[in-house]
Amino acid sequence: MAQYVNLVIDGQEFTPEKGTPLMKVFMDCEITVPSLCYHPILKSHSRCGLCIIEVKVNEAWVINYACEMVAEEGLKISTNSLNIHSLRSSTAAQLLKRGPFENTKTTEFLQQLITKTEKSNEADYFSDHSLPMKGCILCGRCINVCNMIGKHYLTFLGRGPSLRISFVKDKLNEFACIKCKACRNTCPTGYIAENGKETFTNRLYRD
Amino acid sequence: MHANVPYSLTDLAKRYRLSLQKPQIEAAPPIPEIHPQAETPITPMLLERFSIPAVPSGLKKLAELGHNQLCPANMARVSVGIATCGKAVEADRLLEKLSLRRDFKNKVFVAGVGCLGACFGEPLVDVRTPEGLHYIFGQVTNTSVWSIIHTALDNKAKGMWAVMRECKPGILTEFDDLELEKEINHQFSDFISPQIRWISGHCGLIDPHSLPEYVATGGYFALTKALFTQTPQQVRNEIMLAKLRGRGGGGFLTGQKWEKAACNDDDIRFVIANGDEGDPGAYMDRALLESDPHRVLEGIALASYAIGAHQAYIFVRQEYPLAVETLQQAIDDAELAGIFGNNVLESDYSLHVTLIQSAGAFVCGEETSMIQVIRGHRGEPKPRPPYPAEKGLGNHPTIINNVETLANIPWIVANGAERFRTIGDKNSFGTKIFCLTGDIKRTGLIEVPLGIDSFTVVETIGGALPSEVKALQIGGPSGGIIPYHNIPLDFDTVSAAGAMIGSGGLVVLNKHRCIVDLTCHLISFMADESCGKCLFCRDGLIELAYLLTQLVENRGTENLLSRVQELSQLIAQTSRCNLGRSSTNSVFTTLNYFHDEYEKHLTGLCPAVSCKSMINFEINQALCRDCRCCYLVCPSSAVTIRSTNIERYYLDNELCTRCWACSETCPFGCILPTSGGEYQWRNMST
Repeated sequence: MAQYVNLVIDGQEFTPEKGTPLMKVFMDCEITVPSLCYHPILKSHSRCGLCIIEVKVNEAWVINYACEMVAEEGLKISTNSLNIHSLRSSTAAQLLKRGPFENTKTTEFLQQLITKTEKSNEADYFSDHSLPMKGCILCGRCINVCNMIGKHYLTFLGRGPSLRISFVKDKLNEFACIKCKACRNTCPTGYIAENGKETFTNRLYRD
Repeated sequence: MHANVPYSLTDLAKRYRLSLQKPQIEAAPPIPEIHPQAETPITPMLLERFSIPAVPSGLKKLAELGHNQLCPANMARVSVGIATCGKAVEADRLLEKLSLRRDFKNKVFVAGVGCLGACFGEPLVDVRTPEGLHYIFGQVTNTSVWSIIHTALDNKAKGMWAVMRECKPGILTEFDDLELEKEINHQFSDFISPQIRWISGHCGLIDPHSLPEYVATGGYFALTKALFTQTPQQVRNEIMLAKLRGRGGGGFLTGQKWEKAACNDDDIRFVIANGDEGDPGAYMDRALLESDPHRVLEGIALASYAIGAHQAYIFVRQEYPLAVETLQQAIDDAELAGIFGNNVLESDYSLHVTLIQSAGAFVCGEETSMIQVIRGHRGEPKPRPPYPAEKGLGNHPTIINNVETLANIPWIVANGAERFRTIGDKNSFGTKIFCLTGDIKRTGLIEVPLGIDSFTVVETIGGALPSEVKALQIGGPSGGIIPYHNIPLDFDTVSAAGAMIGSGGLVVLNKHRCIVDLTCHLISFMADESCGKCLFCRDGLIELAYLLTQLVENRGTENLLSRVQELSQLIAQTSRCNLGRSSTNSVFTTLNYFHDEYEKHLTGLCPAVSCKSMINFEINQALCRDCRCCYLVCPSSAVTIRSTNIERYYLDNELCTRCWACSETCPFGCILPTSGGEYQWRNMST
């Protein structure tokens, strides 16, 4: 028997099934909450930061990431308050700093979210310094899909400024990564041009 | 050849009627090895103190053996501090030389002990005479070691820093059993007197590699009391009543965490001891693990018994090699003695303890990341709720407590929650171990009651001059920097000021430490240690570190401060774990309390006269005596000698690299840095 729960989103009441991912609830109820790293089938890790919403906890609005939440009884959610719009705008501006993207649709999508001008500095870290992977927003979708199909050829390496995605060579079959193109099809920014092996030049184990 | 001259020994023997048998030289009797022997057995006194009728016989034998070594009545005992602070000044060579001395054989028992906390006085040596007097010697050198040798052999006591006496001669179970009889070096007595050493009561007195010595101080008696006379619910009640708060930084009520885990339907539970201690400048957990590892193990055993766990893990950072080695040996010794295993102390309860080393990331000290690392995955935090106490390792209830919190548990079980609550008040009970470092004379590890005022800690214990201290940095990089004033050091008051007690790092800053520079350093640390999952914690901290570096290098622009403020709020609001949420505390507190320093940096001045790009060096020609040291020592030839009589030495600030060499070398104090002419360094002698 499917259990249904009562939610309040932006003042309106909805009754989805218990345990439905919140992003699916938004899609079903036609509420727009932007996201770049969320995929309905893959595990999400709240890496892009665009899906932030406000949840009411004990009379105060607390910021939470929608892609990690599921529908529970009594949730009160706000998706379009001023605070949320301002945070989304800052997040989109920060994502754009990660370099010009191959996929122009992503760039346009992000630019539409920017509603306020950032107090920017002339000197900008991201234009002055070279990052390990310019053009990649480190959303982890490629890693998730490669794990899901059982290949496990990609992984995150490092932390902080040196966070990057690296290729894990398969000891038995060196040429196993060429034909599948699953990572290329899920990449939101178009960073992966050919396949994982060519794109991610960092290696987890030394050759 | 004459007939009468004896030519052979036989003839000689006949002539003089001597016997030719070789005389029997009796072999010298072997010198019996005298073992240290105490005067009275310690077990009855310990049984009375813990109010238990008996202990397993193995424990009793260990206690007697340890007591003989700790308080020998037939020989003296010399204890040399060989924790990491001691090793750094070659105290282990001192220990080796003393233990190989021939005239110490059978007269003096030499042992290596842990850290007494007075790190400024290492190498520290404690000589105990059979009457129960302890002579503490500090900063021992190759010459002053003779005073130690004479004190140990002939009782000629001189050259020591302090004399302490055992309140009951022949009984030494913790620091409270000693009282200061004579203070000769006031530095040491000022350092020790305001402290209350409950949790670190064995550090510096017992040999950390010796299980018998730990048992002789009452070790594992608390575990016996809990196992055989109390139910797990009673142990949990005691900790709840004591209102013990986590000592690792979170400050969460330990009793509540335990109750949540114990009242779960799942039967399999785990205990993890957090020894990751990533805060730069904090080494409380390291000192406890190096100097008194069994106390931590006993705390883990009590915690496991209280929540019904049969497997415990200790997570220690691999940058603590001495702690890892000491702890592993302690676990092996305890297993051999029957304290860990399938029948703990011959009871029905089983417990296994495993040591796990971390691979070296600050973020792995966070609860949920630690569980990921133990499973072998990347140490990225997972969202909470569900909290580890409900669903942790393998989705089983797991309690994760800091090493110092666990070290409090045996004390509370032994002495009771009521006595624990006699120190501190309101919401902060008990003592806290702080690491006092910075611009003070006496740095080290101190244990003070929560609620003690900062003036006592910084001036009495640390030895700083009040007029020189500008600010205090409390709680490591997640803490804050607050101006120096008299503030009681407890959880609530310090958080209200904007900082947090955190794990216990307390850095004292004088007037010549640039606050902006320190904030830049802390933010850079956080930027490097962020796991990289959340966008703003990763990219925002990189940009924040960059902006602050620009400010320190005199490249700040107009809207830099507002961008710094905005970024810090974004990072704190959108981060998913406490690393990101508390990473910008230093920026918030300094923008609040030291805004003028930031503003001055925007105009190119450094009020602390410290940032290299904002200071110029000037030679005061009136004091100059023509010694030419500045000219000789300057590495970039910025000082030139002109052929005039007045203003002969010219310092070209364009070539100067601000290495401070000329300023430190000048014997007459002529060369002082200034910042824009407005701020000048005070005299170099302080």
